[in-house]
Order: sequence, then C-alpha cells, then structure tokens
Amino acid sequence: MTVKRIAFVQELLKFMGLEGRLHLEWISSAEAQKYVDVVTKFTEKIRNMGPNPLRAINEMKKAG
Amino acid sequence: MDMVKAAKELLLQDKVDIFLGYRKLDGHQIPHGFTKAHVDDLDQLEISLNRYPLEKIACDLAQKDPALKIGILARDCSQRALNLLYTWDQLNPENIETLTVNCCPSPLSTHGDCSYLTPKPTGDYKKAHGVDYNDSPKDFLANHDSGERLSRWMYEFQKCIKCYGCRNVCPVCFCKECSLEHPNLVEPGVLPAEVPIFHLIRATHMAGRCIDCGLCEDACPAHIPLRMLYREVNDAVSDIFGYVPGDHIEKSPFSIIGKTVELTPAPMDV
Amino acid sequence: MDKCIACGLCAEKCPKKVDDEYNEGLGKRKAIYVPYSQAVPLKYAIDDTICLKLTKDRCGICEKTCPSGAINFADQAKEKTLNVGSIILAMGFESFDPSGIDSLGFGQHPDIVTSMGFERILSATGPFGGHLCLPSDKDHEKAPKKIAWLQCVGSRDQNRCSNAYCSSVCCMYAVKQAVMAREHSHDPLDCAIFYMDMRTHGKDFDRYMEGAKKNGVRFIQSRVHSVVPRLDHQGIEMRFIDPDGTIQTENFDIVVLSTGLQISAACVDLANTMNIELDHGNFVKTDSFNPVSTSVPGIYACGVFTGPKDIPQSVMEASSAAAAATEYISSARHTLTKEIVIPQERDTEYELPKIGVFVCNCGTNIGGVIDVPDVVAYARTLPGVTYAEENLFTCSQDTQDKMAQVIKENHLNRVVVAACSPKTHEPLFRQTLINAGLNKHLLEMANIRNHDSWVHAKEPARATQKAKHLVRMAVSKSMLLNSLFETQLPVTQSALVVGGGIAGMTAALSLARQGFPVSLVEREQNLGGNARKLFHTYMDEDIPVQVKTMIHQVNDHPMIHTYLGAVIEHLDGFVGNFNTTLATSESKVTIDHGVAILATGAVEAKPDEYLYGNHDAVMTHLEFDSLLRKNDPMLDGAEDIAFIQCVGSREEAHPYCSKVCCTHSIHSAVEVKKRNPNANVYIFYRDIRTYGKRELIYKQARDMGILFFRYDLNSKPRVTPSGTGVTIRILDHILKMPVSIDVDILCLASRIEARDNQALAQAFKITCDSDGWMLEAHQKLRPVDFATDGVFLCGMAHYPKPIDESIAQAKAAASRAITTLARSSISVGGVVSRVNEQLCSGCQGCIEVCPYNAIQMNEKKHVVSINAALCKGCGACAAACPSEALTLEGFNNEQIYAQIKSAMGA
Repeated sequence: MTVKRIAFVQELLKFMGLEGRLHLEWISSAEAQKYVDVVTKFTEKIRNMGPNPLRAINEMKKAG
Repeated sequence: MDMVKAAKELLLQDKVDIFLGYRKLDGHQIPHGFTKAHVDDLDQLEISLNRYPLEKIACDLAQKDPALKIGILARDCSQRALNLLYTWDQLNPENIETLTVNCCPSPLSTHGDCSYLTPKPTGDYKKAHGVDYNDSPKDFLANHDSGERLSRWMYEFQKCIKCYGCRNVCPVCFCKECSLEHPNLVEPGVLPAEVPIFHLIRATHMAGRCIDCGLCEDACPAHIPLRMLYREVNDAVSDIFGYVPGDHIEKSPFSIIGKTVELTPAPMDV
Repeated sequence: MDKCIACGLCAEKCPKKVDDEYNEGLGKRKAIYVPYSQAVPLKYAIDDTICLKLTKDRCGICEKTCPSGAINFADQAKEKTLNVGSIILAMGFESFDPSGIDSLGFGQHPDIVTSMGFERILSATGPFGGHLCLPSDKDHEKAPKKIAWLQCVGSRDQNRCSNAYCSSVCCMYAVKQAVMAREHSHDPLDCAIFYMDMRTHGKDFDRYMEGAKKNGVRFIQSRVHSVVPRLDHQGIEMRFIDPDGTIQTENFDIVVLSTGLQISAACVDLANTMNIELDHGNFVKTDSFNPVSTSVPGIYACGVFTGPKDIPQSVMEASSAAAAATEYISSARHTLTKEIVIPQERDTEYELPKIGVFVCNCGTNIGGVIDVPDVVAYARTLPGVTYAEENLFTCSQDTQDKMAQVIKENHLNRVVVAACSPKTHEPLFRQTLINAGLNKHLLEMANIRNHDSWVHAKEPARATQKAKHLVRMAVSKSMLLNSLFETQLPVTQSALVVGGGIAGMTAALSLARQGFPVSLVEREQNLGGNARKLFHTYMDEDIPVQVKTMIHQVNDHPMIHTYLGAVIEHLDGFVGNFNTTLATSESKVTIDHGVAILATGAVEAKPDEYLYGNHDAVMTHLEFDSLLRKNDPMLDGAEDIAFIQCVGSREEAHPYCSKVCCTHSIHSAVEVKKRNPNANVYIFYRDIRTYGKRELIYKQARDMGILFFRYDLNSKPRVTPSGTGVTIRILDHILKMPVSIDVDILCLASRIEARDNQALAQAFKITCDSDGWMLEAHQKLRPVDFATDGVFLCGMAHYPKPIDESIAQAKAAASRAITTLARSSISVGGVVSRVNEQLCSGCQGCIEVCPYNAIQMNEKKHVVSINAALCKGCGACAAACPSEALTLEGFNNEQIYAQIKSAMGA
C-alpha cells in the first residue's frame, strides 16, 4: 500500500515541479548501515537542491 | 419528446419514486426531482449544457432513505460517477434507473453536447504565467521545466479563496467530514490556503476517484484549472495501476491490499 | 545474567580478538561478546577458552568496566536437576566442513567460501556490512563479476564423505543466494549453479527457480571435478564436464560451496547417552506415522536432528513435537501456573495531565554523549510536565521500584521514558505503570539511545539538542494519551477439524488426547481420504493398515465426534467463538467451537496425455498402488514397466512440483524389482527429487538396475500403443540418440491438484494462492497458521506432501490450536482500531486493506465495525480511511499530529 501511495504522490509532485523530494526505501531493522547510507544520501541530495521553494512563497504571503 | 415519455413511464409504473433531472425556473435550468404526484412537470424537463451533480443529490436522498428508488437523467460523466459510487457502496445499483444522454463525442454523436467539451478560452496572462485549461498534462510536463511548473501552479493555487466549491460540486466527494476542513491539515481561518498543500490534499484524495466530469473547474470562481490537475491525477493512476475510475465497478488500487508486491520503490536519483 | 543490560562497554574494552565463528571466520569478535545480533537473551558471554582472565588470570578489565556489576569471574558452573514429563530434542545441525576435500580448494583461497560464509557476506550484519565484495580484498571494495555455486558438497556423496543423504535445502538456498547476490551487485553479475538435480520441491520454490532462470542465473548440470585458485591470482579456475560430455574450464571470482547439513558429534553423543536410535546418517530414527517420536518413549525430536529439512518444515515439526510431548502429560497442564496479583488501577480520565519524564543515562551509553541533566532541565519546562529526573539505568530493578513510588507520590498520570527502544523495553515500563496503579497505555518512550547517542556519538552538543526534540515530541503525544482497556472474551474450548484424511485424523486425535472435544467433518462416507488408496511409504510401512488403526482410534475416542457425509454450510464468529452449521443429507447441525483446523487434502489429477484413459497399460500412481496392494495378475505378466515423472507438474499451467512423485515412483519401481528381479524397470524424469533420507532409496534403485532416463520439457517422451503394451520414444541425453522402449505397464506420476476450496475459503476468510493451495500466514515462520486468527491448516490442502510431513503438520496445527484452546478466555482490546460511526461513509475502503479480516460492514447502519478480537493494531485501515473515521488507539491522528507539530515547532 505504501509503495502505491508513494508512487502516485511522487508523480503528482513531479507535475507540480517538486520532484525528487520524496523517497521510499525498504530498510529492515537489521540494516543499520543501509539506513545511514540512505538518509545521508537523501539529506545531501535535498541540501544540493537548495531551500524549499514553498517556504519562501508561503512566508511572502504571510508578510502580505 | 422520448426522454419525457420514458421518465413519465418510470414514475407512473412505480419503477422509481423520484426522477432527477433539470427544469427551467426563472430562466435558469436547475436540478429538479420529479415525482408521480406532479408527473406533468416532466413536460418541462430540460437537457442542455448546464450540468449539476445529480448523483450527489441521489446520494443524499439514499442516505436518508436507503430503499428509495431513484431515476436519473444521466450524461456520460454521470454514468462514470454512478459506477464509482456503486464501487464505493454509496449507492445501490438496484435502486438506480438511468435515462442516458449521449453527450460526449462517440461514433454515434460526433459533436459533444456539454460545457466540458467546449474549449475554455485561456487569457494571455494565464497562458504566460499560469496553466492553460486546455493543455494536456503530458505536454505541460514536457514543455516546462520544474521551476516553471512550480511557479505556474503556485500562481494558480494562490488565487484560491477556499470556497470549497470544487468539493461541494464534486459528484464523487461523499465523506461526512472532509480532510480539507481538518484543523490539523488545513489551518482554519487562513486565507489564501497554504500552497500547495490544500490542493494536493484534494488531488491525493481524488486519486482513483476522479471521473473527469470537469464540474470542479466549472465551479471554481478563481479559474484554477482543476480539471487539468485531476487529469494528471488520473493519468498517473492509469499509468501506474491501469485503473480508470468509473470505467467499471471495480475497486480502486488504493483500497486493495495485494498478495504480492509488483511495484518497486523508485531509485533515488542524485 | 539478570544484571547485564547489553551496553557493550565490556566488549569495547576487551583486548582479546579472535575470528568470529558466526561470520564463518570472515570477521573478528572479542573474548566477551554477543554471539550474533539477534541473540536471545541479549546478554554478553565470556569465551572461557580465550579470555585472558580465565585462561591466564590476567586482565579482568571487563569486570571493572561493567556499569551494572554483571561480571563475576568467581562464578562456578552449577548442576541443576529438572523433573520433566517429556523431552524435546531440537539440536539442529552443523554445516559440512569441506576442508578435507582438497579438490574443492576450501581454505586455499579466501574467495572459495562455504554457503554459510556467503550468507554472512550478503547479510547487512555480516563482516562487510552487506556489501558484496571479494573476501580476498583487504579494503572490501572489489566486487565480484562471476560467482559459481557447487551443489551437493557433503551431500549425496559416499566417496568424498559419508553423507549419502540429500541435504534438501541447498538447491533452494543456492538459487536464493544467486538472486540476492545479483540484487546486491551494482554491475551485472554472472551467477552459475552447478548441480546434479535441482531439488526445489517446496511451495513456490519452482516458480522462484524459473524466475531466477529467466533473469539470467545459469544452471549447469554437472558434478564439478576440481576448483583451483589460479596461480596468476586472476580468480579461481573450475574444471567440469558439461552436459554434452566435453571438459570445460571456466574462471570465477567467488566459488561458493553449497555445503550440506550434518549432525554434530556432540549430538550423536547425547543421543547415545539417551539410548536414542539413530540412522545411517546419524539422524534420529523416526517413522512416517510418528515423525517426531524417538525410539525412547517420552523423548521427542524435531528439526534437522530428525532429517535434513528447511525452515517451514522445521517450524512445523517444532510445533508438532510440542503437541506430541504434551499429549501424554496434558493432565499436568496449568499445574505450575502462578497467578499475578495486579494492583487496583487508578481512574485518571478526569485528571489534568501530570507528566513524569524519566531520562536514562544507560550507563555511559546515553550519558556519555548527551548532556542528560540538561535534557531533564529542559523537560521540566515543557507544558504538562510536573516531574522529571535522570536515572543511571531506568530499566534496573531498583529504579523500577522507585519509579512506581514516584508515580504514586506525585500523582503522575502520564509517563515518558527517554531511553532506548520500545521494542525491547516497553513491556518492562508498562509493567512498572501497572505496578504503580496506572493504565499501561499511559506510557510514551523517546528513543534517545539507538536513534541519538549511538548514531551521533561524535556530535554531543547536537545530540543533546536532538534528545530534547525527541523528549518534547514524546511529551506532546503523551499529553493526549488515554487509558485503553482490554476485556476478556470466553473461549469455547473445542475444535472443528475439516477433512477426515490422515492429516485431519491426526489433528483430531492430538487435540482429543489433550482433553479438547473435537468435531471431525468428512465430506465422504468414510474416513481415511487418499491414504486408503495408497500402498506403502518409502520406509515400507503399510499405509492401509496404519490408516485402519488410526480410524479405529478416532472412532473409539470419546472426545471425537465424527460427522460423515457432511459439508460446512455456514460459519459465523471469530477466534474462540466460532459457530458452524453443518449439513448432511439428513439433517443440519450447529456446532460451537473455539478454533478450526482445515485439512481438506488434495487429489491426484487425471492426466490428459501419454494415452491415459485410452489404453489399459497406462495408469496413475493410485491405480498402480492398487495393483500392488491386490497382487494383481497384471503385475506378474509384466516384464517391462516404466514410470514417467512430472506428468502435469512443473509446466506452464501448473508450475509447481508435486513433491511426492519421485519417491513414489522409485519406491514402486523397487517394489516391482523385488517381486520380479528379472523385470526391466525404467524411470523417465526431469530432476530426481528424492530429498533428505529419501536419497537412499534412489541409490538402492540404481543399485538394483532400474534405468533412469532424463528428459526436459522440450523433448517429452512420446507414447504410442503397441498391442497390450505401449512404446515410449525419447531422445537419450547421453547417447544423443533416439531410444524406443516397449513396456507392459506405464505408470504416470500425475500431478497432485488442489481441491476447489472457494466456498471454504470464503467462509473462513482465508485465501488460496494461484495454484489453489491454501495460503498460510507466513511461508517460513507461520506455516500452519492463517492470517485469520483461530484457523489453522495442515496436510495437502497446504501443498503436496508425503505422509510423514502431513502428520507433522497436523500435529503442529493441533499444537497451534491449543495455544488458543488452553485458555478459558482471550484478551481483547488495547492497541486496536476504533470506528467513529459519525464520520464513516461506509465506503469500505478499509475492508480490503485489513490483512486480518477484522473489519465488517454493518449494513444496517451503513458503517464499518472492527472486531477487536481479530484486530492486530497495524493501522492499515486508519491510513486508508479518507475521513479519519478509523483511528488506531494509542496512535490516533491527534496524537501523531501533536508529535509532528512539536517536531516542527523547534
């Protein structure tokens, strides 16, 4: 079920121009190293993509 | 008129308790429930470009009286809506009689008789900064880079006045309490709604449900190209799961847990 | 033991390093160690053969380091005497050590590994962290491009070792390892399996193998001659004879020896001490009808100790041994049970939240990184928190007692423990709450060890910050926690068994012998099922005689009520409280029962090829067995008899192996040969699958001169009539020439087919797989359970299987059923889903996503309802519901939103 929902939302986000910011990975509780690798890789990826563009938009709006 | 005769027959032969169609009142075509007691009112039955979610009225009626037999003037989109509502157990197909209007183009009728099929004019500013009503989701994706896609949609979404018209008119929105009014998801009293989360919540809830009637887009006072958005939703559902809502009476992929996993999570591209 | 909290400081300080035998010597461990990460209990142990203190009376640093004083070098071995009614031996196996076979090169090159070693290489907790690399590469970076598996190392071999039996599991694990290795590899990986017969006879195994074939795993039928590390260090050279008979040489980067299973000398010694009879392979001698009984009454055995087998079969046998071990001592059940006295629970519903926060230092595990006093001070500032303290070990017994005291004195009504994982410690802290008179669900844990201090050991300041975030989140959720209650539902302590074949009768007898009334339902007019038509088992036991005895036992047992000619018409209820309506030709009966066991069996399919039905000389196994049973004159006149294997099995339409036919054919062939040594007997096969001890009968057959011809799916034998007999034509694989054989009798090893279980499946809310076999809850670990509680399966309804396995599974089903039946009531509630009927639109989106069939539609109200007795609290329905009408108690949306908000609100 999770993989279904994520596959759909990834598609939708791509359409909105927000691709790459959602990721799904199966990691068992025994796979500590994989967890570290995936989280590190994803963090780096997001950092390289720059700040969340939505934050700017919503804050601008609040400011008026 | 055949339709009038058929509808009268349904009522007179007690095949239905009420027949939902349109009638002209004060110069407007508005939905009307015709009954046996006032069967002659059917002479004023109207079929025109105007559309309302008659299925939604049927749902409300069925909620109050599950045994009520309902006749409906059904366009092609209504048929899909009804299939979907049968799938989700909101209407009982045994209690519904339809008189169909062939309005979408087909080999039999080459022209469409529906507001949905008339291309909506898109203004120049919208074309330059927003999203063209008539663009196909695939073309939109191909012709704009991700930054532009985001800015165009944000332009559209920020116009939202949170009137809930899209939801209220939607024939397949049947939840008793709507996530769009959930204080934890959508902050009450804040206008415009937080973008794009408000619209994405609705888009997500439409996955596997939207029957592409276009009523939401017609209803939107802020001219947000919602039909175009939900067509992308439908494309995604159809591409990933091969499911077309309302096509058949068949459960949505989001409400079936399979025995095997065929989808694999997409790899992380860096 | 009680004091060790598995903090690991001792192992960190221990100076003595040795090869880690769990990682097959590929990694290192200390003298004080946990054997493997899943070890239960999770306690450190000292290896007394290498510990410096114990061997040379030096060091002893661990004793000084241990924060909880768990190490006592003065401890002595103690002898204990236990009085028991039964003994179960589950001593497992050791992997064959291939060092002695120098032609395989094990020990000569690090890249020649055993399958156990390769298993560790693939494992995330293994020596290379799950990265597939060459063991010879010191940096663990170089990835292999080609891997070979050599099957039957230490199995089916009386020349290089003395293990004549087949180890049963190696074919399947080799395929699995090949598939997994390819998944682990970033570059295309060439995997080749060198085998004699591919024995993938388990449920869904053939499908898995065909999938591997399709994805490019190579299967080469060859017994490998030698494995030699190349002198130029460019991999390992293998020499073998390919199926065409030519000698080939191929290089591989890693060679995996698929080592077989064998019984260790220590197990043999113990068995001898106990006077337990062992067979030639040192396995416990059992018979088909008592698969878990040893030769000594009261001593039972299970797992590989009774013969090579895989995980599902071992799990079944384990439950089975438990049933056998309790059958004759069931009167002692509950005689040693102690009642626990629970203090009165305080009603906190109308109290304002008073949250107590307990932050654990876990020795230095947390305190060494995180500034615990700072976290405690921060916790005191959080809304709702009226008490906060730090503990050296929150989980230690004295802290537990103190905690209960603090809760009572400060009238706390929510408790947050910031320590380790709820997976290991939540039950403990819940018990503390119970002891303090609080509802156990008013507890929330923040994992500041595994999720924080352990992984951020190098950044103490930020780790402290994160600990505060985690505590704040837990506090905000705990504010919204409410008491959850469990109610007791009475259990009807009787069973329904569906199917009166061997499996059904075994299950019924086992339950009845343990004192539980059984209703046994059989559709036919007599008990016995397929077994009535069989001849002998491969161990030469007379099946009809045994079945007759079994039928007598069933009929004579006062606790078993048999309904013949009856079918299930209707079923209501759930675990502990089923209500079934049976229909016979005369009447209808309604039965209340607490559990149900489905043992509806399977049928021999009627072949649609090889002239079956068109020629009297062509018959199936059951028909041939009937000739054997009756000493039919047709047999006396037969000089030439042939068997064709895999008739209708392992084909596209039925891609499964029927499992029993190879052994059946070979046993029948041997029987024919015994009766008439001059007869010519031929067997046409694809892979001979005489797994486990059955391999010996295959050898016997070859020794007797029975001829085996291999064919594959593209060149099936052709059968034409010739007078009273038939002619079989086939292309011989070795001669590469057409061969034609005239036979008097042709016996077809026809597929075993699932019955149509649709109606039954619907009534019991169970599912069948695409081949029609009933689908168990978990193929490896829960082989006799269904996802639906209180319903169990056994026998061929699950998958084709021989009698010994059917009986083992039937006893296992009885054993599993007793876990419910032995209780007079079951606890219902706690962390389960709840429906808000006002919000439910009756769309039923949740029903299909519930894996436990716990949700029903209430047609009258047009809303769904949850059966709390079946709900396992997975939350799938809560996630599926678009209106949040369904919530999971203890994890409701408000609580989770509060947690998220508090996480974001830093």
